[in-house]
Amino acid sequence: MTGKSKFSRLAVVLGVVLLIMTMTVGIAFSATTLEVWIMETGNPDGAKAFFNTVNSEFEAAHPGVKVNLSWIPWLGAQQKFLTSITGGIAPDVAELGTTWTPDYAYMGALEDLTERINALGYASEFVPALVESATLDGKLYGLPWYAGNRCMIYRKDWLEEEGIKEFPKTWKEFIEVTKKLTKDLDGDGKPDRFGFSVNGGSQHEFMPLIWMNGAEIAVKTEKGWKSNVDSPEAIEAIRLFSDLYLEHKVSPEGSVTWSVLNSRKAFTTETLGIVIDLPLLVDRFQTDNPNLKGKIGVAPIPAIKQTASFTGGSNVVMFSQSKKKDLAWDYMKLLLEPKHQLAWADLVKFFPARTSILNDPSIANDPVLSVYADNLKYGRTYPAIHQWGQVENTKILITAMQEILLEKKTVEQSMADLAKAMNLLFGYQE
Amino acid sequence: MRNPKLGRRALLKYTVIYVAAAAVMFVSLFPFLWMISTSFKPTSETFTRIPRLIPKNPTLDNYKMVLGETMIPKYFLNSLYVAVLTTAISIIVASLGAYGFSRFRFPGRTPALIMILGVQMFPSQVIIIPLFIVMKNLALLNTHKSLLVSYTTFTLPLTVWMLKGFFDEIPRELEEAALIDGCSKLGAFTKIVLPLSLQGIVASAIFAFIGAWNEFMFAMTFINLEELKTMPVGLTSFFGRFTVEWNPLMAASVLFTIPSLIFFALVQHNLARGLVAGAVKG
Amino acid sequence: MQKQVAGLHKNVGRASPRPASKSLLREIKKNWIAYLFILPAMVGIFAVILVPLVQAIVISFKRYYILDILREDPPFVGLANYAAILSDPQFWYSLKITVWFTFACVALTMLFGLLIAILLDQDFPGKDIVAVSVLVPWVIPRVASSILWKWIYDDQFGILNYMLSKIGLKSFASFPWLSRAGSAFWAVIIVVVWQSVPFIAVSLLAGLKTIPNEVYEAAEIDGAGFWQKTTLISIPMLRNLITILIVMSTIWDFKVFDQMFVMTEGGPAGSTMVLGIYTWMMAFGRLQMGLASALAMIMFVLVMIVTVIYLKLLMREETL
Repeated sequence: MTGKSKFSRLAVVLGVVLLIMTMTVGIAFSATTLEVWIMETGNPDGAKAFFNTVNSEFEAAHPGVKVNLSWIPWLGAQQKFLTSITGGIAPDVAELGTTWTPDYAYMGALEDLTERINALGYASEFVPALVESATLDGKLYGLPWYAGNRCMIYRKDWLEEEGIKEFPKTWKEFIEVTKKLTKDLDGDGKPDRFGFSVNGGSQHEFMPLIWMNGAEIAVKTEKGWKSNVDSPEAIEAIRLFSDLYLEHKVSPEGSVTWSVLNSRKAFTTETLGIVIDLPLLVDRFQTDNPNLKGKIGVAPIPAIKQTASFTGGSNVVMFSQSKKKDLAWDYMKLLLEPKHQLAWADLVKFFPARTSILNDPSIANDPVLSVYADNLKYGRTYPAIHQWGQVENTKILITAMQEILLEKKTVEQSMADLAKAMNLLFGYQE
Repeated sequence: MRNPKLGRRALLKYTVIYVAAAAVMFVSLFPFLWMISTSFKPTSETFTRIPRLIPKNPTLDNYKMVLGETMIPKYFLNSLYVAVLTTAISIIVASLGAYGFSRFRFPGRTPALIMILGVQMFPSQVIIIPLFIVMKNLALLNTHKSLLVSYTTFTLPLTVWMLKGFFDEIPRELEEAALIDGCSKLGAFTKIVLPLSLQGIVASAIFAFIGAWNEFMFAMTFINLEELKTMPVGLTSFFGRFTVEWNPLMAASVLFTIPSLIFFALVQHNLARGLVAGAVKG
Repeated sequence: MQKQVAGLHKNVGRASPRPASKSLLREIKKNWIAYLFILPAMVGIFAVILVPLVQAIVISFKRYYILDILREDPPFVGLANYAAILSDPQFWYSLKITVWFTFACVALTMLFGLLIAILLDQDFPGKDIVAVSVLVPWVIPRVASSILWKWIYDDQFGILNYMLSKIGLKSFASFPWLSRAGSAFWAVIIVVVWQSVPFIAVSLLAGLKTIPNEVYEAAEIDGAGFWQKTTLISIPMLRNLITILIVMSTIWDFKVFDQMFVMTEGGPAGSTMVLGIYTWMMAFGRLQMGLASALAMIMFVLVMIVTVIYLKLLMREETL
């Protein structure tokens, strides 16, 4: 009897153990992973902590699901996405730069999110430039996540030395200021401190001048999109910019090929007075060179006819290859929760895509962020057409600017050639 | 009468030689020393108008940063993995092939040898486009396999040629004796030829390793997952997230150079051997 | 040399006897194990190099735009890609600068390679240290040395500008080496030459060592100086080696990619867009695989012409 009951107890224990084991193994095998790609940020530790919170929240709400997150560096990211899409190894959810969204949507790589987004209830709140960037042929392919615009970051102390109390509001005054800041400090006859850098290697600084002079980069006609960079206003705008280098010589000689990486370095090493850049750089400059603490000011980009700034940012997209679309959507919605939006915005020093959150004191009371947030309304984005990705890939914008700066072509010639090249990519024919 | 003249001539000769030698050494070594020097400098010493070769306050911060806060260690291990495997496969396949070419006179031998030589000169740009499409169709993009396959094949011409040269030098009589003793051809190859040409195999292996260690274009095209990137590609994407960061960049470059440096030191006396086979050029 | 050519013919003769196919078959059967030995290597080369080569030819006749391949099979467009390339001014510009680039690199590499080889052929105390230092540029991986030189060329804080302005060339203070069309071109040439010279020097030195000392001694008795010895003995005796090295370098430098990509990416304003970069950009920047393959085929034909010369020379030198 005892022997038997002992045996049965053992059997029960064994059975339970076996059951637990099968269950664990079963869960382990049935665990689905959600592949998520997020772009690298300037604050890797903070970003990791943020996503640890988001992911554990998500995993708690979805038992058996594991989020696999990869950090993608901006440099070379575009090619990475392309090869993954064509190779059939795209993630479920990814952060996508605004200018790339139409490109991938056109490829058929992205899931149409129109219905899902409209059902959210806060679709009307999104920063307009972001919605525009995510729309192709009336359909929404990206969930706006955050917006980043550019303002002028300048050396307050250098301006004060020249007796300038306030940052210029017009481009004309701006030119004068950059001239005053450009100096030959060691007396070798060549300036070694510069007012501004024209950054011939990146386009986000010079293209907005076209908007600022009241023109469009491209216009929609009956025959499709047509480049407008050869319009008199655009040419005048580009000339105003390139003259900083050619005529006023307030920009370093090497700036023909500089990108923001170089102008930031020059600003950090105190050889450059003004840069057009993102809000997060204000902190970055002061950590990299403590000598700059308290010497940095922020201001809107001085107007020609009006002010404007390229407003990029990111959308969150779902790849049509994904086999876990509902899970993916739950994840995307989670990122748009106000608390996560605010935390992320604070971390990357960008702005939440939901404008209702912009009034939060953490933004409205911040001396740097408030200037940028105020200017979000002047934010513009490049034409949301799938061919725009090609315009950037082929570097024709940069090449056109470099040809002007190297005096290989006049502004008129270069812009006429650029318009031709753009129209070719747009598929526009007269 | 002749002696002072000769003395003056010798003096002139040595002056010319040492001036030339100094110039050669400066041009060859200075950039490398500058790389090492920058890697040990704090940022503040780099962005100054008066640079110095010997850092005033040498620091290991750049190395700490590179090893602790970046993906560089991962890139390094990836490169090591790809290069070592490439070398192993390439040497096995190539030594078989080289033995075939060295010991047999068979129909098609000359055309095959010429083809191997010719293939080595192919521009990679020609092959990379279809290979990319093939890798895509086989779902091999973003795997180290794609690199292993390409690197192994592209190093074969070199390793086959080098090894064939080494095998040619081993007297046939040794194998013939073994064959008479009842050894199979494969046995003669593994028991006689391979041990005797060990030095040559090491040299060829090192050249194969350096080739894979250096390769940039395929790696950049086939791999774009951060955790799979190899050193050359990782280094270019490391150029800067926010600004150009020369000091850690130079520290990473030094780390990247070390394996290559060690292996070159090992094959120093065999350098000229690769000549005929060609693309040993780093 | 005549002897060597004859030797080669003898070899070829032995390998594939002319007469009937029967004996050919017998030769194949007799050597079956040889085919087994070379099989893995040949399969690899076929599958990964020769088959893709054929595919590249096919693609070069298609409109193969990566963004479209998810929706449709790339259609055949005949010679349209070639026509587009040949009427593309950027192609002709790229071809022109690639030729100039190659010429400059090869000429400078050979010149310095020969000078260094001659230097190392002399006997002087400390020679070994010089010989080892010469190898250093070869040892540094291409990408690492390109980044290193980018730093050396840096306009604001680069050591090169500092040195130049220190020795009195004040106009080089903050000279933007990589931001001007002409200087960027030469800046990359310097780097490529810097990295290529060691190999050439080592090869030439090995050649110089084969020239018996008696030849020089005889010339010295005849009163030949250093210059005469070099131009009348060393160079003529190394003629074949020099030719092979020139052809080899020509092929390498024509394909240049790594250094140019890392240092200039073809810029500024496309001024250093050599064919190697242009082809890659066309394929993986513009995503036009068809056009890129056509470009690659043109490159291939040009390289192959030089390669055939190389193989001819090599076969004259070498007994296969």
